[in-house]
Amino acid sequence: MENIDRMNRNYLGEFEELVLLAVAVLDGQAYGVALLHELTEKSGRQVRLNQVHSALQRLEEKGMLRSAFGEPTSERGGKRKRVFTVTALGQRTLHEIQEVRSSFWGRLANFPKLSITG
Amino acid sequence: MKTPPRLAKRFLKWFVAPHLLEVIQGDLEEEFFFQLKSIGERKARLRYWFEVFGFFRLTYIKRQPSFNSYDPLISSSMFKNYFKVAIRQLLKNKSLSFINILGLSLGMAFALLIGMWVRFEISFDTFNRNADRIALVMKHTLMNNEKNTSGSVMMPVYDELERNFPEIQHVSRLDWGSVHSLVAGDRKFKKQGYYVDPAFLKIFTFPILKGNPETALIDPNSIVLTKSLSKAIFGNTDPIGKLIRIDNKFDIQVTAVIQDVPANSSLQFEFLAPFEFNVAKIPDVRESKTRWNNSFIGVVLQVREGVEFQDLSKKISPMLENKDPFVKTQMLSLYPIKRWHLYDDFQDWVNTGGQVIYVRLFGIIGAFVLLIACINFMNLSTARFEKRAKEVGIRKAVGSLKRQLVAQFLTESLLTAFLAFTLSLLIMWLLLPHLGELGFKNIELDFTDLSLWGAVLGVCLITGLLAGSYPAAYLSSFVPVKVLRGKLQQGNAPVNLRKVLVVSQFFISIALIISAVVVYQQVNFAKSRSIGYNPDNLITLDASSDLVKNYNALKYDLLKTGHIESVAKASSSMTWINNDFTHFSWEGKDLGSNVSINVVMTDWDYEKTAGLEFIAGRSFDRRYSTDSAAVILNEAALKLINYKDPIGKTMKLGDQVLTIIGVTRNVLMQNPFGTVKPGVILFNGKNVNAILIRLKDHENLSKTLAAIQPIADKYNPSIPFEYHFADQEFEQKFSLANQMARLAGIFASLSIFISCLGLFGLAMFMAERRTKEITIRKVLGATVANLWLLLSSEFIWLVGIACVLAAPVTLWAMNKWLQTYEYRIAIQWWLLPATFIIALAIAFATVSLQAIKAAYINPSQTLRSE
Repeated sequence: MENIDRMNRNYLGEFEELVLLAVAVLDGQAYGVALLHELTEKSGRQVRLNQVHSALQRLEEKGMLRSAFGEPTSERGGKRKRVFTVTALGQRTLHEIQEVRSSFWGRLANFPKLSITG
Repeated sequence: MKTPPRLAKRFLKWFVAPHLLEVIQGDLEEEFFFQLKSIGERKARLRYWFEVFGFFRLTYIKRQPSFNSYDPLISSSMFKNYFKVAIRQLLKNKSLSFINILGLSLGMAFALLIGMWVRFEISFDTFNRNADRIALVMKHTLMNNEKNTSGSVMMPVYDELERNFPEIQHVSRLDWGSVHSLVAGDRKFKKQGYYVDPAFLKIFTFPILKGNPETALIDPNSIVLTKSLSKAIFGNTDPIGKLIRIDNKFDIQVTAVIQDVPANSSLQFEFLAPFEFNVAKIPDVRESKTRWNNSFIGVVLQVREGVEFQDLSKKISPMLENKDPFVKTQMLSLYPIKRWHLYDDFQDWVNTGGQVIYVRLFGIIGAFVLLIACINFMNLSTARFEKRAKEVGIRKAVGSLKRQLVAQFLTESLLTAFLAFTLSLLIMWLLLPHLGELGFKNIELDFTDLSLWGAVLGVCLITGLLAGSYPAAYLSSFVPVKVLRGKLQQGNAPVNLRKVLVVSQFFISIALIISAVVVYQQVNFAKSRSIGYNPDNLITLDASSDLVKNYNALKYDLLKTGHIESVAKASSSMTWINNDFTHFSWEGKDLGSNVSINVVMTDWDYEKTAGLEFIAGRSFDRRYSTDSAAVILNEAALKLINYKDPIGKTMKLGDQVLTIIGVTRNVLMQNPFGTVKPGVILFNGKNVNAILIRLKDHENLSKTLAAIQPIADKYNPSIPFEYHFADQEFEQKFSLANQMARLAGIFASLSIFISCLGLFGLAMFMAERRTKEITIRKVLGATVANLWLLLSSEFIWLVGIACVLAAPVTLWAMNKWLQTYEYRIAIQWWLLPATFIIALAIAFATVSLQAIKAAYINPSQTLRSE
C-alpha cells in the first residue's frame, strides 16, 4: 500500500501539485476557470486552460481528485461546470509532499542565510 | 451582445470529444467574458482562439470508448469467426465457389497478360534518353498514281542535312541492316548488323560497357559488338582491340562493347560498323554518294533542344525537288521515334496508325473481359448471399450488430477475391510460356515488379469490396422480424440490371466468335490462293560473295549429288522483291505517269527451279544467245503494257531494247493479302542475292540436306551453312494474321465461358427467387419439361436479343477490317445463323443445368420451410 502511494506521489508533476493545492484551497469552488485565475494570480505565470484541464484529468485518473457537475450559469452560456474536490488520497499526498519538503527545510535551518541568488 | 468567435466555437465543437465538450465550452465562454471586461473585445477574441487551439490535442479529441470497451469488429475472436464462416460457406457450395473463383481469376489473368503486352508495346524505344528529339527521315513519292512513303533515302540527303541545318544536333546514316559473316579464329557467325555513323551512339543511348563511345566508330575499320555477341565470339576475354574478319574479306577491330539491344527497340542489331567502311570498301556505295536516284539508306537524326519536328520537317521537305528526272514528286519529312513502333503505317503520305490499333483493340477487349468477370463475380456472390437472408435475421435476433454483418460479408467476398487472385497468378505463370507465338515472346512474369502486384491486388480488392458491399449494405439492413417471417419483398431493379448484363456479355461473345471465324477464313483464303510457283521442296541459300563467285562450280556439284532437281540464282528469293524499276517504257505508255515494275534478275533454270507456270512463250534458253536482251512478263505486267500478242514484241529499259519471250502466271512474292504488282524477269546473272535449290520430290530431306551442306561449306567457308524453306518463308508472312486469328479464337472462347458464368449466376438467382412458384406449379401438375422450358425461355430470349444486336455491328466492323486487304473473302451468309445457334445452344445448356435442378425439387421440402 505504501509502495503505491509513493509511486503516485512520485508521479505528481510540479504543475499538478500546484493544481492539487489550488483545488484544496478553493474548497468546493474549484473548476476550470476559477483554477485558471487562481493559478495565474498566485504563480504569476501564463497558464492556459487546456493545461489546467489536462492536469485535472490526470489527477482525477490518479484518484487524487473527484469531480461532479455543478449548476449551469448564464455567463457560461448555459453550460454546466465540473467542480473538483480533493480525495483522501489527494490530501494524504499533499501532506506527504509537505512533510518531505519541511524535513529538508528543517535541515536547512542551520544555514538560515543560505542565499542562492547571492 | 458580444460573443466568442463563432468559427472558433464551431471548430471546437467539431474536434473535442463529446463527453468533454460541455465543460470545456463552459470554461472557455466564462473566461471569454472575464477577459472581455479586462482586456477588451479584440484581444479577448484572439485569446479565445488561442485557448481553443490549446485543446487541439489527442487527449481531448479522442472519443470516449463505447459502453463495452472492446471493438467487436477488430477483436480477433470475431475475425476468426468471420473467416471460419466464410470458409464454410465456400466449402458448402464447392462447385459454385469454384466456378466463381475460376471465372474471376481467368478474367484477371487474361486482362493482366494483355496489360503486360500493352505495356511492352508502348514502351518501345522509350529507353532512349533523347527519345523526344530523335526522328527518321522519310521520303514521300508519287508512283503509279500511288502516294508512297519509305524510310529509304539517297546518300546525298545525309550530307545536306549535316551541312546545312543548324537545327540538327546529330545525324547518322543507317543501312537498313543485313546479315554479315563474322569470323574470329575458328569461330564463324552470321549476324545482323548496321552500318552507321559515329553520331549513332550519341543519338541512341545504348549503354556502353567497354570502349570509348566518342571514338568507337570513327576509324572505318572498327566494329562495336553487343555484349552477347562479344561473349559468343571471344568468351570472357577482353574483346577490345581484337580483330574480326567480316564478309570473309576485311579485318576490322573491336572498339567497344554495348549492352544487348533490348527487345523493345525498333532497331535490332548485334553489331555496329562505321558507314564509312561501307563507303570505302563497296564501289556501289561509293558511287551513290552523289546520286539522287538511289534510295537505299536510312537517315536518323537528333534535333537540338527546343526545335519542333514539324518546323524542321517543312524546312527539309523541298530538298528532293528536281533532283531525279524520272520521279517528279518526292519530298522529305521527319518521323519521330516515338511513333516508329505503334504508328508504322503511312497512307497517302500521312502517318496514320498501324500496330496501335491492335494495342487499343486488345486493351479494350481485355478491360471488357475483366469487367465482365468482375460483374459476374459480384452477381454470383450476391446471388449466393440472397439465400442467406434468414441467416441474417437470426444473427440479428441473436444480437449481431449491423457492423458485424457488414464485416462478415466483406470478409467472405474478400476471401473469395483473394483466392481468385492467387489462382490468377498461377494461371498466368502456367500460360505465359505457351503464348510465345502469340506475341508474348518478350513478356515475362516478373514477380518483383510491384506494379504487377499492385494491379492484381487492386483489381482483387475493388472486386471483393464491390461484390461484398451489396449484400453488406442491403442484407444487413433487413428487419429481422420480416425476414424470419419469410416475407422478403424485393424490387425488380437488380433483376433488370442482371438481364442487361447478360445481354451485353453475349453481345461481346457473339461479336468475338464472328470475328474469330472471319479472321480465320480470311487467313486461310490467302494461304490457299494461287501463288504462281511451287513452294514445296524449294530451299534458298543467302548469296554470299563466295557463293556467287563459285556459283557455277556449286551448281555443278549440287546437281551431281542426285538429290537436286535444279539450281538457279536470282536477285531475290521467292518471298520478297529486291528491285523496283521506274525507267521501263513501251509502245503506248502514258509518259506522264510514274510507273514502277518489280524486277527479278536471274539467268538459266529459274523457271524450272521456282516452278513457274507459263501462259505464253518460253523461258531463257542457253540455245538463244539473244536471250541476254530478253524479258519475261507476268500477267499483271502484260495487262499494264497491254500488248495484244506480246511474244516477240519489244519494250525498253532506259535505252536498252528488250524482247518479250514469255508471260508467266502472277507470282506472289510480297504481301499475300495484296494483289500481285506488275513484274518482269530480266536476264542478268550479276545481281545475286539468293540461290534457289529445288529438291527432288520424295527424297529423304535430312539425307539431301546432309549432301548439300559439305558442298555449301566448301564454296562458302566463312559462313555457317544456313538455308530457308520457301514454304516456311511463305507461311511466315502470315504470322501476324495467324496471331490475330488465334487471339481472336482465345478471346472468343474465354468470353463465352465467362458469359456463361454470368448466365449461370442469373439462372441460379432466378430459380432461387421462384422456388415457391415452381413448387406450386409442380403441385398443380406441371411436368419437369414444362418447368424446364418456363425457366429457360427467358434467358434464351436474352441471348436472342444479344444476337440481333451483335450481328449488324460485327458485320460492319469485320467488313471494314476486310477492306484493308486487297485480296479478301466475302463474309458468308451461313456465318451468322451458325454463330447464333452455337451461342443459343451454349446458353441453353448452361441455363438448363439450373432449370432442371429447380424443376426436380421435391415440393415437400420447399413448402415445409414456410
